[in-house]
This record gives sequence, C-alpha cells and structure tokens, in this order.
Amino acid sequence: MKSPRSLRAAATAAALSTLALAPFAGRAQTAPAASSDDIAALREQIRLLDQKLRVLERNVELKDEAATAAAAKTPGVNADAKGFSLTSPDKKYSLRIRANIQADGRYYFEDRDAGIDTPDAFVLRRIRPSFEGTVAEKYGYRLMFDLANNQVQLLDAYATYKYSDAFSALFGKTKSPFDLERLVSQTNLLFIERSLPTLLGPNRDTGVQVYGDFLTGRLSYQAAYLDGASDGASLETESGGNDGKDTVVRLFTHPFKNDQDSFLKGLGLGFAYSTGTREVATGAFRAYTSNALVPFFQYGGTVRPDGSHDRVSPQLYFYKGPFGVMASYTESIQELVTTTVVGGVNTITPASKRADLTNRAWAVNVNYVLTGEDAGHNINPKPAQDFNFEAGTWGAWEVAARLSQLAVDEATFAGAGTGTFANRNTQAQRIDSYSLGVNWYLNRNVKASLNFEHSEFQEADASTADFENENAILSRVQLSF
Amino acid sequence: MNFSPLSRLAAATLAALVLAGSAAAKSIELLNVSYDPTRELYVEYNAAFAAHWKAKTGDDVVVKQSHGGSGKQARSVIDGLRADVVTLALAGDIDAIAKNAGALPADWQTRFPHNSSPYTSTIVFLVRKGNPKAIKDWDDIVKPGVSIITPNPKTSGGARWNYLAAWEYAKRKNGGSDEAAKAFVAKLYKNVPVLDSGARGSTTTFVQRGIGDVFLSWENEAFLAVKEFGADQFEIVVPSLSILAEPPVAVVDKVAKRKGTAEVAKAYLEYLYSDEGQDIAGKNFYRPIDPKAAAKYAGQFTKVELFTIDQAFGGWTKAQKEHFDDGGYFDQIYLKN
Repeated sequence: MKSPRSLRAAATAAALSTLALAPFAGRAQTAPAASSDDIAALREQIRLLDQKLRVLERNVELKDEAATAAAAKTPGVNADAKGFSLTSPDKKYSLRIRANIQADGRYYFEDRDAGIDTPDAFVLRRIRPSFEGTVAEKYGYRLMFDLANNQVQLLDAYATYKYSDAFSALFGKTKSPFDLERLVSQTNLLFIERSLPTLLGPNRDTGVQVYGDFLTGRLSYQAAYLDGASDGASLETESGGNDGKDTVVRLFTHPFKNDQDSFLKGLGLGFAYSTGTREVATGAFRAYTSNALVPFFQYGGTVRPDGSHDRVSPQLYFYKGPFGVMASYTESIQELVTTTVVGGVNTITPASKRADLTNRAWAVNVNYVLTGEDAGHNINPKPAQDFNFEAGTWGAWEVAARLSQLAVDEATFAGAGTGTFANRNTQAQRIDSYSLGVNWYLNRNVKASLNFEHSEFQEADASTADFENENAILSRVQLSF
Repeated sequence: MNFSPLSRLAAATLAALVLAGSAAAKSIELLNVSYDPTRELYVEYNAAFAAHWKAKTGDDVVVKQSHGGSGKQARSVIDGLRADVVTLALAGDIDAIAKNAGALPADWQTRFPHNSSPYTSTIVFLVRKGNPKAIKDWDDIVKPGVSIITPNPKTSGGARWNYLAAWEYAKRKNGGSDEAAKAFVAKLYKNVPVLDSGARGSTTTFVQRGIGDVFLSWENEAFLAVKEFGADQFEIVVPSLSILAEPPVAVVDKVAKRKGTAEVAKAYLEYLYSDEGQDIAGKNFYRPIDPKAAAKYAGQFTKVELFTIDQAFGGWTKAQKEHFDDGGYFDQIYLKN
C-alpha cells in the first residue's frame, strides 16, 4: 500500500500533468480550450486534494506518535526460549520465571565392591523453578528451589545491587565463587555430573559477595565473605553451623577477549583462593563420590574439622568454534581432629590426633560439536536447526571426553588400627575417572545426554581391600527455559 | 590512644579532603516541567538564572526542561514525573497536581505575585501570507471551507484558551447566549481537520506540514513562527476580542523537598519577576507583568480587548468542569461532530 506522502505526490503529479497538458489538448482534439476559470477551478481542486492528503498524512503521523507513546507505557510480556518474563514500561522492574527438569537413568555394570551395591535407577535429578529479575533498576533478586526427591530446598535466595560494571554486591545464598565447573549452570553442564575437583570446593554458601569487570571485560573479580561450607557441600545449616567464616577470592581473565581476530579470543584463565576456619560438629563432611555418584571416600565418624581450611584452584578454558577444553585443579588443606565420645558428646581430648590433610583433584575435559555450532563456556550450543523428524533436521550433536582424578592425603589412613581419620579397608585413597559423553540438543530448551563412566580406585597403603573398577552409564533428558 | 605519625598524617589528609569536599561548590539539577511553546523562553531564562545563582551562591544549577501539552504534562507529574517546578499553561492544570498528587498546597497561586503568573499572553490567528481566506475575526474562521488548526483541549492548555476565547466572542455577540456560543464553537471544530496534543504539534502541522488556513495560536508562538520562517510566509491577525492567558508557575513541594532543591526552586521562579526575567519574557514575545518591561515591549503587541477567565467563566475550576471534563461541552460538541 502506498504511503500518504507518495499518494500525495502521485495525485499532485497527475493533476499538474492534466493542468499542463490542458492548453495543448485543444490543438489535438476538437474540444474547446480551457478557460482561465477552468484552470482556476482545477488549481483549487489540486489545492483541496493536496490539503486532504496532507491531513491524512499528518493524522497517520499523530496516530503513530500516539501508538509509540502508548507502547512506551505498556508493560512488556515476553515468552521465548529464555523463559517467561514481565517488564515494566521503564524497564526498571522485571520478573523472569524459569525452570529446569532433569530426568535421569543410571545403570551400573560393576562397582567397587565395598559392601555397596548401587541400584540401577530412574531418578528426577533436579526439578528447579526459579524466579529472578530487577527492582528499582539497580537491584536484582533470584529465588531458586529444588523439588527433587519429594522435598523442597531453597538453593538460591539473594538480592544484588549493581553500582557499575566494575562493582556489584550480592547478599544472600548462592554458589561460592570458587570452583570453575561449579559456577557452570546446571543446565549447561557438559557431562551429566560435575567432575571430581568440585568435591573439594564449596558449593552454595550464605554471606556477602562483591564482583565486577575491569579492562572492558578482560578481567573479572569476585570476592566473598561467607558462612563457610565443607568440601563439595553447601553450608551446614541455614542458620549458620560454622562458627568460623570463609573468605573467597577469584580472579579470572580473558586476555584476548576483545581481539576479534585472535586465535586465543576464547581463552580464559583464572585462580581462586579460599581461606577460613571451620569449627563444626562431627558429621560435617560430605562423602566423596565418583562421577556416577557412588561414594568412595568418607572420613571416620569421630573426625571433625577444627582449625584452618584453605583451598586453591587454578582454572582455564579455551573455546574455538565447535571445539572446547576446560581444566581445573583444586587443592584443599584442612585441619582435622579425632574426638572421643564423652558423655554422649564427641569431645577433643589429650588423646585426640590432629593433622593438616591435603586432598587434591584435577579434571580435563574436551568437547566438539559435530554439527558445527559454536561451543562455549557456560552456554549450550545453539542448534542451527531444531530437531524436526518430518523436516529431516536433527538439532546439534556434541561429543565429549573427560579425565579426572581425586587423591585423598595418604596421612588420612595412617596410624594404628584401620587408620586415624578414615578406614583404609573400606575407603579408597584415590579415584581415576574416564568419561565419554554424547549430547543431543534438540533445540534451545531440550537436551538429551548419554555418558559412559569408568572409574578405577586405588587402595591406601596397608589396606586389605581390593576395589573393583566401576562402570556405569548415565542418561538424562533435560527440559529448561 | 597513641597513633603513629603516619596514621595521624593519613587522618589529617582525609579530614582535609572531607572539608575541602564539603566547601566545594554544589551542583544542583532542577526539572522544569512546562507546556509546549515555552521551549525558547526557558532555554534563555535557564542560562540567565544559572549565571545569577552562580554569582549569588557559587553553586552550579542545571535546569532540565520537559515540554508537552499542558494537560498532558500535569498528568505526567501526577503520575510521578519528578518536577521541581511546573510552569504550565493554565492554573487548572496545577490545581489538578495539587488535588490529585498532593504535591503542593491548594493555595499555591498565592505564593508568587500576580497569582503566580510572571507573564501573560493571548490568542491570535496565524494565517498564510496574503491572508487568502480574508480572515479578520472569529466569524471568518467558522465559514465553510476554512481549515482551522488548533490542538486538543483535552491535552493542551493553549487549546483551552482558544476554545474559551471563541466561546466568549460568540456569547457576547449573541446577547449572552451559551447555546449560540456552543453552536459557534461546534462550527469551529467542524473546520478542524487535525487535533494535535499540544501547541507545538499544531505549529508543526500548520507551519511545517502546510495544513490549514488559520492557526489559533499563542501570541508568542505566532511571533516565533513569523520570526523563524519569515514575514513572507505568514501573517498575524489579531481578532477583535481575545482572552488574557495567565500561565502560572509553582514549586512542586513534595519533589523539591525530597530532592533538597526547595530553596533554589523557589529562587528560580522568583527570578522570573526580576528585571532580567521580565526582559527575557518580553524578548520571547510574552507580555511582561512588570510595567517597565511591559512598556519596553508594548510596541510589538497589537492592542486587543482582552477578558479574563474569572470574568467570563468564573475561574478555571468552573470552566474546566463545564467545558472540558468528560461529558462537558467539548465532548458534546466534538463527539457529535
């Protein structure tokens, strides 16, 4: 349809043509020549026509202005692959509703035979609705629950304040800013379960964090003062079961981020450090588990942390096109003490044994997107074409491999009897894991994964155990938005 | 307690910095929410006031301006636009802010001289060069075939002045008959092809888009059009009777107190009554209220018989209710048209 402006131009041109040709028309035809009155009348008609079209054009313009003004006052409602959201007209207030459902299947061929017979199972690994957004422009919030295992857990609950890109603050409970893979969203994991170094870092913790970017995003920092969480676990209780506190600092750099043509544009290097004291009752340790979630190490029941707890973790990743690699190393040094039950209470006595124990873990994983989409850190490949059986399109396919190891300090098992801090006859000293995986991204919201996990266990010195290798297949169907 | 010399030096340096900071000049920002045709007036006035305030207090003042149809602007302030001061087209719009937002007291008009109107204006006709439709007075514009440009009285203060001026003219001519006035104004709006939301929009319609034969215009807006586009494009026609428009000003207490700008906001409006403020008003084709400035600029204004809203309509509250509220005379006329 022609615009009023072009209509006006066409009508004016036609009328002018008529007017211009009028004096000559008489020569070619027998019709009488146009009088000056006729010309004046034509001119008036042109003027009126021109006015009408100008009015039409102006009214359309005003209608557009009114529509634009009205749109600016209308709250935004959005539903797309990123979730469902509401936004105030001034963009200062927003709410986004997201969710993640992970339905897993686990099949164990062999396990390490320490009296553990891990059942094959279908499980709902994660059922996590979350609510996040902004209030008054600079303040943010997030609430995330987990409904798996028929219970309700509050995982994330925090408020943020953004002063600038270089400085934001977070108050509440979320992931401790330490471990590289722990900070990857549950929906974007390369393998079904995170690797062994995450067992030595803190999980979720409550406290205060500050963070920001410098050097146009090439250097980022996170610093936190937290309640303190044991290795691989979230804080002991919501009310704060650890009298000591943890300080966590993490620096991460993307040195070539802004060099568009650099081969190393996707390189990230970082270092995390945490230090604190831990003074909690016994039972404050989470069992170390294989990549197939089978426990292989647990401290003795009378052992408790009592003193300093430091961790370090150098970390890196590199992504280039469909290829990616991620690696991290974590060392956790913790002061532990044995206790004796006195009057029903675990008590430190003169006979208690005390030691600084150092556990170490590392992991390297590589991935390649077979269908050519870009791989990246903490994002899933975006399928160039969604899966559609009838159309013959198959989404994105990715293969991955991982090597990882966790070694418990040998001193843990030393001493009289079966060991001072752990039972050398039932607990493994080291695990070496090999993982292979295939991920199928049907679209941006649905992902299916299949992993093969092979783990080999090493016994501590003087152990009477002979742990068998563990082989397992893990599968997952994930829906997230 | 004994502190080390280094600690004392650091503390002294910090204290000196704090003192220096508190003694430094302040930078103050005001928001003046105004109606459409005052853009040029306040650009010049804001610069003059900033210089005056700097000389008087040493503080920097930056005045931001917001313009639109007067009724629309009042609505924005009621809805939360953080205006330190309002300088609107008519008292009824500031009354609405006082009533609906409680942002200033009901007697706000007593706070500054001359009912808080530091300048006045009136309504004139802007026609195209040569006055092809031979428009001389109100009767000429309601003739068939005359296209009139005037904004929407629901959103524009200037449009309400236009409407009331036409009403009163017809009423006086017809022996005080409101019915005759209503019929006259109905004829007038039959000739209006475009209703802009504000006076500046109507100026665009008439001047830049070339629509219409006559523009019912604020006097200062008409002068600006002639000044900007040339006397070879437009002419000003002054009708036999028009209305004395008294655009008022007020501090929005609720906002100014919260922002800590009450003192400078008050001074900002007071300075409109100063010699310099009055001179700037005259230069921008507003009629100054100060006799000295009024005399200086008298030559640029044609003499016209003016009536006030109080005389003809019993004040803004009554006029608003009878003519412009939902279901009022304007709705009856315009919806019927």
